[in-house]
Amino acid sequence: VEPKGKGVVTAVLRTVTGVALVIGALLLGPPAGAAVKAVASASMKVASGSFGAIPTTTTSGTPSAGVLTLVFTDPTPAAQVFSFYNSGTLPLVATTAAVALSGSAETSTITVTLTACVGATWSGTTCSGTKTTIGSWTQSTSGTTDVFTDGYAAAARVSIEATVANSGSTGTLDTAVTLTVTSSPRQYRAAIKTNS
Amino acid sequence: VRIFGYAGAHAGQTAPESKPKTRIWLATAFSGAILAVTAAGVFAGLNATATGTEAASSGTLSLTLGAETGSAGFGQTISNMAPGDVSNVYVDLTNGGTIAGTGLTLGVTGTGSTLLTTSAPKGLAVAINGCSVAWTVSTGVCSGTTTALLASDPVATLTTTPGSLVSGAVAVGAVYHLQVSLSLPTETETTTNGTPPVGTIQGLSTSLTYTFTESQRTATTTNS
Repeated sequence: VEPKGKGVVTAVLRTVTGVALVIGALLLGPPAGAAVKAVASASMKVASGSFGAIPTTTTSGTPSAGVLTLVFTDPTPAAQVFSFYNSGTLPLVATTAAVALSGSAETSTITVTLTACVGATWSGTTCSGTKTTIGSWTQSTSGTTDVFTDGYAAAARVSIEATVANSGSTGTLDTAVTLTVTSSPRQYRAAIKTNS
Repeated sequence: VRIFGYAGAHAGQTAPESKPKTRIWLATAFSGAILAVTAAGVFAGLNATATGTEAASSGTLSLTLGAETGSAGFGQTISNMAPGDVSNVYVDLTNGGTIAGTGLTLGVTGTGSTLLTTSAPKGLAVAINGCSVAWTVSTGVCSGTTTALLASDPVATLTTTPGSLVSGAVAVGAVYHLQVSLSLPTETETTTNGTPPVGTIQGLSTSLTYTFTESQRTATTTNS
């Protein structure tokens, strides 16, 4: 015969256990009206492209991003060659160039002209491709932009010649030409719709 | 023998008085047994049994997904998307169970946590059209009847709130020929000297998981 106190404790434990089981069943069990569901799923990899151009004097490899500064110091400075490098994964259909003049350009009559050699590379002052003038800048137009409207593929280069003409000064030329290129959404290939 | 005789009896001696009592007990037990057997026989004769057989089986609810003829379906990789691009993928969704479904929905989730799947205005969006017959994948043309099942909805939204494709019944055996249009919204960002702006949508990747879900039709009570 169990002691009376032990019997009471056992009864209480059984009651608590029963209540817990009922609550658990209510929480875990399907609510009224729950239905069977069917699921079908599949995965697909997606990646976005990138667009951009870098002005650079390098001729191979991937150049570092950043502006390009060309310095012309002679009274009759020689032309300098650089390129626009397509650093994105999307083909570019145009590139915007901004040229800023500094140094003696501030006080002299200086004109900076950028000319692309489309389809070939500048060799000295010779272009075996098609010469395309991108734009010309003077002191008054320093900092403005012009657009190169030929396209070039990802990782491709467009060879460009920069020339400086000093028409009004006979003194020493000391001009820095800073090139900044930008690529806006209008300048990568047109949006496309594919079915596959 | 201690039961029917007196173990200590000798010639000329009488048995103790307990012998008649034993006989009485034995007689009583024997009578009780006879009554019990008789009663059981009476009740057994009143039993009756009727049996029947009913076949019952549960139905199935099943959705299956496959590529439309001529399409690689979701097994392909969409790469190098530019803002404004649309990529149409064609799949067949079949309600192949024996129970009709209801409330067909689509949820889309992406791996990683990039703007492609977390930004509603800049990230990927999904739209779905249905065709009453198989799509001509190469041209994206539906020669039957086209039904807009889901207007363009950002993945960022579909991740948390599945979109409704069919609000009503999904018949047993129904095949939905779906054109899944994945688009990247147009952007206004500008890349300067090869450096994209902060918060760019460029150069990102993810693996999208499309999950189609339906519920069973409403449970019914039949009388037959």
